[in-house]
Amino acid sequence: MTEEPLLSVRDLKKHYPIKKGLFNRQVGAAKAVDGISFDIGRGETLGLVGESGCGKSTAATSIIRLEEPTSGEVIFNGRDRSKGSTNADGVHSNDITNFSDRELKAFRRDAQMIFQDPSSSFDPRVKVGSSVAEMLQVHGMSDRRRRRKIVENLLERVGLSASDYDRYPHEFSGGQKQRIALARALVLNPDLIVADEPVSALDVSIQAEILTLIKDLQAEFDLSLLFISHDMSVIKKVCDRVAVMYLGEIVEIGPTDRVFADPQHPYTEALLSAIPTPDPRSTAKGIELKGTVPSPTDPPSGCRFHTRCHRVIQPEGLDIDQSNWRGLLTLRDRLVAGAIDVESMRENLGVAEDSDGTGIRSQLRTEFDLEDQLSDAKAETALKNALDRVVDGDSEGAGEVLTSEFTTPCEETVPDRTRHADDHESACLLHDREGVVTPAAADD
Amino acid sequence: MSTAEPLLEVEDLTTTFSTDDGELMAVDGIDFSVDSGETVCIVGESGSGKTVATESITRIVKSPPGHVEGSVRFKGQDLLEMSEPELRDIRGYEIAHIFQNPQEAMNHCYTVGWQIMEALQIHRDVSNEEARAKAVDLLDKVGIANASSRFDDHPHEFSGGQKQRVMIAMALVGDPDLLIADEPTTALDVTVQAQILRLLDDLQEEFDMGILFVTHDLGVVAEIADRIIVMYAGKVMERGGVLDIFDHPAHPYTQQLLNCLPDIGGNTGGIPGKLPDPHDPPDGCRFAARCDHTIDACRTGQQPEEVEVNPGQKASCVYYRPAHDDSVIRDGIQNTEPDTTEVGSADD
Repeated sequence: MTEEPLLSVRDLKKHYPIKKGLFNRQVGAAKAVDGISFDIGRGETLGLVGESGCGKSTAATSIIRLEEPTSGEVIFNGRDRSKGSTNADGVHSNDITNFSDRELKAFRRDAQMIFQDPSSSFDPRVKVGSSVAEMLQVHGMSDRRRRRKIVENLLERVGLSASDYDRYPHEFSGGQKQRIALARALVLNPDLIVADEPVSALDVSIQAEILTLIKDLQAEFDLSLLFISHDMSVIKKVCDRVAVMYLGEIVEIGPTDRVFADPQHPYTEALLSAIPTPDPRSTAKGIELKGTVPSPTDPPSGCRFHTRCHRVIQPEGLDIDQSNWRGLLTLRDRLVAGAIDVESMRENLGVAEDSDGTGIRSQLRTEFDLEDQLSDAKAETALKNALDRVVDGDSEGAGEVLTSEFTTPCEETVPDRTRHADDHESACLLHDREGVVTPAAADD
Repeated sequence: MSTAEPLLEVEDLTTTFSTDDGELMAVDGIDFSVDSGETVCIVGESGSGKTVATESITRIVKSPPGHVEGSVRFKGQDLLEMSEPELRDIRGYEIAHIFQNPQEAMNHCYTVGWQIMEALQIHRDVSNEEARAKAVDLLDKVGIANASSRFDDHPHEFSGGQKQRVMIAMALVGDPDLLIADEPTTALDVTVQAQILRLLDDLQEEFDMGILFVTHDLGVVAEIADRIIVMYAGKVMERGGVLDIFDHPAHPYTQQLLNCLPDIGGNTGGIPGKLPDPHDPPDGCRFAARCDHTIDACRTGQQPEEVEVNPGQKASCVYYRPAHDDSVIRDGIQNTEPDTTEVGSADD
């Protein structure tokens, strides 16, 4: 992009403090958004996609300062702010995070937000026309008739009729309400619209209509869009570029076609494969991401995705089946977390059948996708040792054995962004093997 | 089921609501059946009556009080003739429901374990210890890690996907013969959706449950369904095996629905028009006003009788009557050959 982007987000962070005790001391922070950076050009749609809890919505609200970001820069060059520059004290004059109340109010004219649930974003006792017109009033248009005229005109533009001005929200369906929400977002003629899951509460047939409307209006008003969704197929339909978020970080960003056709980050790959294909014959089971997104209060070290990644890297000198490797690491993590309850396993198996612990051993191997005999002798010895300890009730010790034996570069090194082609970047060690610090086989 | 009688057999099910604007017929005389170990999907736009149809089975239709008629035979008994206490023994025990929104389906003042225990103890006289053991077991089965310690957590301490798992655990409390799942994955992420669908599949195998699955997501349908029922404006438009419906949809509505899929038809504009007014449904075919092939015969009389268009596949469309030429509709099928080179194959 040669021209100045409309919005530049640099290393944006939003941490929610966790307080405890009598004096409300801060004991930690939920790192909802942890250093994300991207640009949105004029007239461009950037999609932000990821599982729930990955910080997409927090990113959106922090960007338009509905919530105060913890740190980072958000440079907005809309309206006549185009010639911003960095002041002597290092603060950019168009940095939203430093706007005063007056600047912020002006900014609110230029950036609008659409929310997921159209039903809860309208006051049920106010006519929808007045809800839309209120925006004009707040921003200083005192002529009631002119307000009405603008709103009536806009209602027609979004596919409703001017007479709908005097109706109440409950008289409209979800899709119609979302049209009104669009009208409300457009009434101040903004440069940027942040749409947070704007169609996920709608029916598929209506989703398609609203997405088409959004695209048409975007072209008509030359809007930039930040489009947040957990639904990859929606992103594919409307976005020029897409950023994939995981646990507060962007793991991959690039042109939508490229990312969909050739995902570079294993997380993107897994997300794409989880989309159900409307083909009853396809039996290909997608890559299964086990477990849920880890807690953002204590994100995993290194690459945050390594606890669930199906391509997690094996240390130098080890070469076993990848699903075995994944299973080993998962077993290790579960043991360390104390999440494996041998007693209840034994109960389920029946004590009589399992006096020597063979049942538990084989059940653990099945559960964690481990072969009866790992192909690497050293690894197999370590695993056997650990399983013996599990059977003896020493889960902690078993965890220690596995921890000292098995480590992955992914948990030690934070991956840098690798540039693939035209704007397509991802943050994965697989693309960055030269930079890998070779871990010693027995680290501690 | 060893006998010829299906697990659930619904005949002429009609659900009406009395509203200020008159009688509203949400479900209008539909038939369907579900066998043990089988997954039947009801698909259609919102407002087509899919949810009301499933809620009518156990008469849990919400206000304004719906009036349910017809017959719903479950394991040989007619549920609609049962008294409320009799029905309560079956509801939530032999027939279990899972709803779209787990947040709303749980009481956030109680721990999830307590709520699962309650579901069990309402139906069976079991001690607290036994109930607790069963609840922990179920939580474990649906894939909640650390089930025994999560037992005492409140719903807000669970993520959306975990809550849906808890809902499924609660539904499984009575080893149900029939599980009615109303858009259980619509509010979830794709990754979690995949996990839940897989879970349902495993559980179905384990318990030989019949599953009646309501959804509008045809991708999900393709993944799990054995048979499909396509509903529109309270009527069944088409029914058949999953391959039949996807390969050669017979009803113009089904064809248009499949056309809306980005990977198949690429019709991003949706189906033009709206569902007809349920207070005053039009004569003839309910879909006539939005159909590309409407002729005069479509606008008179009742919704056309369902005609068998292929073995096991039936459609309710006048074109399949003997006097009409059904090639017009059958030709529409060619456009909907699934194109699997899109998103779906980006994974391998």
